[in-house]
Amino acid sequence: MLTVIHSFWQRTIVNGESFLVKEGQKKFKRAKSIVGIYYFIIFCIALQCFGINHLTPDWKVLRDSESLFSPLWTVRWLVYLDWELAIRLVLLFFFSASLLNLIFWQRYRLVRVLVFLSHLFYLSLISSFGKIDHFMHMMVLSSFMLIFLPNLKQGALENPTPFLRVFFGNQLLILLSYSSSGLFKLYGILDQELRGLNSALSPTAFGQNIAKTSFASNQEFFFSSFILENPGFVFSVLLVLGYLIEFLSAYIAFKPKVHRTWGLSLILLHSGILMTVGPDFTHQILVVGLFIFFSPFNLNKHSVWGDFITIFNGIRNTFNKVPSPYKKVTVFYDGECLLCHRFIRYFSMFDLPDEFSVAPQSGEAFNTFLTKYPALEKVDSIMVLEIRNDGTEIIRIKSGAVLWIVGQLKWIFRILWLFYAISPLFADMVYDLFAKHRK
Amino acid sequence: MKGRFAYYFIPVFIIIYFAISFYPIIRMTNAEVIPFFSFKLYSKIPNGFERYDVAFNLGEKDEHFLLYQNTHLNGLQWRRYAAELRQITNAYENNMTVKLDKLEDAFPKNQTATLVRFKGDYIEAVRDRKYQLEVVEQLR
Repeated sequence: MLTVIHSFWQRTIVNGESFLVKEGQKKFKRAKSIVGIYYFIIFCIALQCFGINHLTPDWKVLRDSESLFSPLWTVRWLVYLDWELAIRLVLLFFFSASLLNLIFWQRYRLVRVLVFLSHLFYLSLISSFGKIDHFMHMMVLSSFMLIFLPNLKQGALENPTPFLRVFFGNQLLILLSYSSSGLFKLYGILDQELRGLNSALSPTAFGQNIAKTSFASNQEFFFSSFILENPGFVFSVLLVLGYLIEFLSAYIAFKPKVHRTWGLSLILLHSGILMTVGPDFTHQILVVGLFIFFSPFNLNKHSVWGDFITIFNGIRNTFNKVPSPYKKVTVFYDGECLLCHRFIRYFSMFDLPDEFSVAPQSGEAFNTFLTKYPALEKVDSIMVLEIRNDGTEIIRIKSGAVLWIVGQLKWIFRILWLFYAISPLFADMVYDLFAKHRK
Repeated sequence: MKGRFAYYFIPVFIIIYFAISFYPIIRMTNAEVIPFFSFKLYSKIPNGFERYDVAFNLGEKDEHFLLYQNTHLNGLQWRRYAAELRQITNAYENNMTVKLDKLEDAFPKNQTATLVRFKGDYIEAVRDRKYQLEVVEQLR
């Protein structure tokens, strides 16, 4: 388990430096502002529960619905109280905890615990009538994760890494929920295709989803009638694109340069859902917007459009048959490891460009390299240093390094990148577990 | 905590979170462990449908349904009645006694109540109002 935990955090090392540590104070200030805004939004939502809106039930409706109450495990205790008192208690607890939290969240963990509990009780209460709504789940889970932020004395921290670590954990939790959802949907395609049923690849797939919610809820959504009248493959493409955006989200967590782009994609995904299938995930959009679109780990100076171009170029370069524009590539390997020796020997059998060289990690060159990238000192892995013609240094470690090397040997091996792209974290964990038991 | 607890806790919690999301799959149920998501939602495309409902005064001029096209219910009533209806239909499909006690409040007085089944294709049902309506059991 410890290996898995270390693998997890070492995955935040991008190009030789952890993005949780690099420019830490700057990122901490942004992250702190985001958390403050998030708690302000929680306060507004708590306030909203007293008014009339379409997302949360009117409090008077709640008061008059005792006979419909079927408590979830988190609010089973409410049945021991007078019903009206219980309703008022849950709502007032949510309001007062979020107000207190707005003022004291930086100083006291206890108020962050209270805001999580009050939010959980409220969500559980409104979900205790036979059906669970999901629009508020991610907020409750984020409130839980943010409990673990370190308290800030005078609003500052000498070492901001623990704060950023919790912030990143929350980002990953959000993105992982999308990935899991996308995973099941892609599995759904496979399962339905194998059984000869209409899947998401069918031209009427999107229309079927829309019609299902329309039928069940007696509602018509903004684009629903248009899509139902004009089924076509373009909607299936959009549907599968949405699945892929969801599925790849966890991968994006470890790519801070594309946080903004992905945040925007997820926001557009929710917007599309709202206009077609119906579920209103405005709360989720707020969470994605704050934590992913405004991610403090993305300090790109260019616009979101620039992020799109970066992603496009990255994908193009990965599958480009033209050799990389490198000036020099050094592969640092563990000289005491038999397996690494074999791998290097296999690697040397190929006709590689003169710019390629190998060096043991016990040598002087590696020590010089570590002096420049101290974050790699505790990383037990094969490492690749690529120096490009423009002077840019690209560092790859663990499964990323191995797959990059084999990709240079034969172009066809680059297909392995697809497996790596599905879960680099998992690939690194496998690498670490393998490395731990190697001889 | 000095940050060390979070260092170990966050990866472990994320693994637990991921594992719990598989609970409904393993148990073959729609039950969810709040506040964890069920990722099964919308993972399959409907291939036709069968939905149960309760029809009041079936075949009469003032025929109406408990859920279908019923805009008089508030959100909580709709959810609760839909959940009860699921239990009734499960009981019916498993040849168990159908209990109506939790739905009695929803039944208009002096009107007949019939358990019915809608069948068809969702798109045709919504776009063209084309569906089959089968009588399953006379409830009242």
